Amino acid sequence: MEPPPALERRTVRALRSAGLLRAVWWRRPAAVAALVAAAFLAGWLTRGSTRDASLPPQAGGSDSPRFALLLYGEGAGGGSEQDRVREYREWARRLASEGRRVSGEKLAEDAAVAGPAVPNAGGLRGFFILDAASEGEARRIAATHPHVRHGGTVVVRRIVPT
Amino acid sequence: MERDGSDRALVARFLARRSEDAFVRLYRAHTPFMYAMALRLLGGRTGAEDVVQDAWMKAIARLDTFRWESALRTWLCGFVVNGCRERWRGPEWMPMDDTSAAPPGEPSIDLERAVAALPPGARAVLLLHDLHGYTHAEIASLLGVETGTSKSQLSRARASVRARLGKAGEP
Repeated sequence: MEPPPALERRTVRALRSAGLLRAVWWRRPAAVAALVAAAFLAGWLTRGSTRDASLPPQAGGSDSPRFALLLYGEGAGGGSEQDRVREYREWARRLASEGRRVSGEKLAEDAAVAGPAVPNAGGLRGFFILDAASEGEARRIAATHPHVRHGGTVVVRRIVPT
Repeated sequence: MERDGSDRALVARFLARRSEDAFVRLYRAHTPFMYAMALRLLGGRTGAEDVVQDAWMKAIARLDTFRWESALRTWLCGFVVNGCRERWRGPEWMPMDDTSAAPPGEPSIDLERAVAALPPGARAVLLLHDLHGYTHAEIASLLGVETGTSKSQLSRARASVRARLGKAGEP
């Protein structure tokens, strides 16, 4: 049974990111030049910002899986709200410094609902969107989020490309 | 075996340079089998692609320690089975009491659905033994159970599938 062609590309990319493969760059100078140009235009070379609210959809040909990390619960950790925001931003910056696309937002406590009511609509405190090689990797990253250490819950959902 | 010889050559070539080309040859030689196994073990549910990708990540990280005590494909499929196990929900095994009778009122269904309806552990035993040719000792090692459990689960899984297919008696 033939697997999806994109799986091969994703696997190669993940292995390269993990340092388990050597890229054959010298064979594709034109592809390298195009990749650098596309990356610059997409803002990837300016990564480090954690408030990229206009995170591009998978334009530029990227088929790296994306995941939403949904932060629920207040958490009982100490420190001020500002300390918490700073901590969460620092977590995202560390990921970005490793070469990963990541963005996130804090949500206000009040929630307006259109449609049937859902339980705990106001319990969602914030979210992050990030690239990960697999759901397993996204789960491992989620486990390192400071929200968990403060007693909150981080739900990982895979984003389906449309 | 011819495949073993070619696998040894591919692995040696990969370990020498860790080139993308060498990996892609290994990938294309084994991923269709690994992917099909993941799909069947997961009952056609989502996650097969992630399982296969994770399996390759783990295998490549450990490839230099592989001692050829089994076929390369058998070793690779071990990672697939473990990855699928992490995704199983609910009871994994056929219950001890006789559940070979199909639920009352349920019409006969085709083979694929009958297998997919099994608990995931029992399904894995059935597929690994009857479809992929693993021995009970290999299955027991992969799934972390006793050989006797593999044998009894295979027997119950076959009986359950036969009952759901509406067939009577031993094949």
